[in-house]
Amino acid sequence: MRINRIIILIVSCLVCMPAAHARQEDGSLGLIRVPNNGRPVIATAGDAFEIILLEEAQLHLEREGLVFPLETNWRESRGKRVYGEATLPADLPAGCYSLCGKNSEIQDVNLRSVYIVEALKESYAFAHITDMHTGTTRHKRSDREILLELLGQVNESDADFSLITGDVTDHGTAEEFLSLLEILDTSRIPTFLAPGNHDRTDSNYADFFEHLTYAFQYGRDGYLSFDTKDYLIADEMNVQNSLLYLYRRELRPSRWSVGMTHRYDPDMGMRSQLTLFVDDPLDYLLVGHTHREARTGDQIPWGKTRLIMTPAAINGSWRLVRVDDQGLHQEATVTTVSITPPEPEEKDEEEEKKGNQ
Amino acid sequence: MFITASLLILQASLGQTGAVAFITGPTPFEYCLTCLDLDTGDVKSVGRGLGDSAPQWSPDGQRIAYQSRVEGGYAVCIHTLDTEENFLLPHGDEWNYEPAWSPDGKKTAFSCAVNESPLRSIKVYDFESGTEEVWGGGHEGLLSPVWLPSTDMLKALDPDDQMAADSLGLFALKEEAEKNGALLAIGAASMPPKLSTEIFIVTRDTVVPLLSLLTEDSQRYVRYAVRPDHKGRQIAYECNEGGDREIFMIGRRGIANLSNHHAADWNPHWSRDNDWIAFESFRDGFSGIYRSQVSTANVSLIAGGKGYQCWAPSWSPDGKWLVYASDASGHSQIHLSSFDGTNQKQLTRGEAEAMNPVWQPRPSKK
Repeated sequence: MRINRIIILIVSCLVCMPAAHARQEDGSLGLIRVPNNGRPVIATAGDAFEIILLEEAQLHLEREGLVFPLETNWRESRGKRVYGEATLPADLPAGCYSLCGKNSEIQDVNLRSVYIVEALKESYAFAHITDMHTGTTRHKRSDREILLELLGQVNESDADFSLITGDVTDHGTAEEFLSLLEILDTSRIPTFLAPGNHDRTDSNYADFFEHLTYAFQYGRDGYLSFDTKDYLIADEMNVQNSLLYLYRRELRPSRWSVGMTHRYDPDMGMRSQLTLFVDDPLDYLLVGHTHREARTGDQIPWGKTRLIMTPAAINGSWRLVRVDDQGLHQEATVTTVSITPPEPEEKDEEEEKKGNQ
Repeated sequence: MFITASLLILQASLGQTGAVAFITGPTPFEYCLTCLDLDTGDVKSVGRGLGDSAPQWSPDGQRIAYQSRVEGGYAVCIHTLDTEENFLLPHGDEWNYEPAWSPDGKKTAFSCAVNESPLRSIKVYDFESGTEEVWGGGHEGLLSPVWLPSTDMLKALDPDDQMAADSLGLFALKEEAEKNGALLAIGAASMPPKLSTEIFIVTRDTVVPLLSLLTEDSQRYVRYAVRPDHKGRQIAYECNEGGDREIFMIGRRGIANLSNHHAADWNPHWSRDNDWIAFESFRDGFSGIYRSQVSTANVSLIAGGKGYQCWAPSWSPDGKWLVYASDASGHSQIHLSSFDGTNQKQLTRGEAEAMNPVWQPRPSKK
């Protein structure tokens, strides 16, 4: 009976909807703002999760041609956004899903935005990736090849999700963000992003990933992503300070509280430092920006939050961090992705010679 | 100078006069000092539009000091209303932040990074001589300076521990404050990896930690956002004493907690009559603007609600109104509220975020 319902839904979707494309044609977010593939949901079947759209719409999940309708509860409308909650079907199989939305005028698909797991683990691992600099031409090997190989390594690792701490692009252009999406979507695990100083051109980061500040829970652990792309002025005047306090308070019962941002500098906005490192200190902070390993002097001077710094992905580096009841355990940086193009193989050269003869 | 076309302003029909300075722009790099005329509703971009921030009105309401990007750092810039000119102070250092006017409007204090040290120092620019001078004897690790409007508070300081007062140089400080004025600033009170901050009294040659004079164990807590009242007789500040951030006040009767709640309370601002302090609090599950009566510590909500945030309050000169930033409309805009919260209005409706409002101390001369 249930299979029949799904088939009917698939057929009706095929008949009623023109070919759905992910996001807008330029890659920026369309109708569905949250979740997306830079701020996905990891949940178990039957859970509810937050949705933010431009307008109310019918939502469903799609995976391998199957369609799973979502129950939605619209909470409020503010500015150009509607906020609500979607409830996952109780019998939803584990896997990676696209979130699809449709109303009378717009339809939209956010790829890799919902991940269903059998259970949220007590002991797990994540990949810390930072400074991807998509679009750079700094190496002889293309950025795309380096980053695809790096994400391939992450796919083969024990990581349950990736935390990517900024400078996801080299110049923050819309074209670079579009390239980033193509690279990101080769990841088989959820990818959570934070912006960096190279991502601050216009409003492109927000256009592609919506929120610069957000929090999420994985099992008993809380993760808080925040914006330090312009650490001197941005966070002292806008709403981020308030959000940091509210998110920090939400995450207070967590086993481990983990901040992720692009950079830490003792000179950054005092208010955010007081909230995150003094009054209710995060247990850990993940950063990049320096393109190097942490040195002895790299520390958060307020005393309780431990710093995890990883070298740049564009230089072929990433790190696996394991999490258990004892804390976060950072493994040695993986640096096996080459930044130079592979040499032509001898066989090819021999064949070339033969051809010339 | 031009009227910002992208900001549609509701006509200020609440009988307000004067102006509100605020910051707006599509990106932080383009943040621009902007003025809203409350009589006409006109909005003008008046700043340099280069990451402008931290606006402060001069005491006569005729000039605005603000922080703005220059090549290699930040400078303090002075906007003059009459001439519509922006004057960059000639700094010796590249990074200069958070200007604060002296009570007579003849000087401005600011924090700056000296010799590439990560710890800031305080400098004072004298508009008459056109020179800047390092204050606090070059002490490093000071930020967010504010002027004491008078030396009344210093005169009243009478620590029990006379030897401590002597060793801290309290008497020299009082003498110097009478002569050149005095600042309050937030400063590093201990060093990494266990940093804490304290309130310091800063004169040209001297720096004295204020609370060391009044309480034992003063380095145990981290203090921020210090603001003297308009007569310089009481000082409000934030402190994490008790496990969460609260608004405290130092007055004639000692130190009092004015906001007492287990959620954070931030950013105190005195009303012109010094009877009230407006501040930000999370006590109802969102960031709202609240007021505390200084004599009773009774707290009530001025502006805020579930699902959105309100922050950065600034009092009107008559104490009957406040402006503040709020994202109630979806993104940060400038709002107005009556003192008791019964009458509220969104003042700006721009595409870009608008924030950091500061009400002109008194209406400019027409």
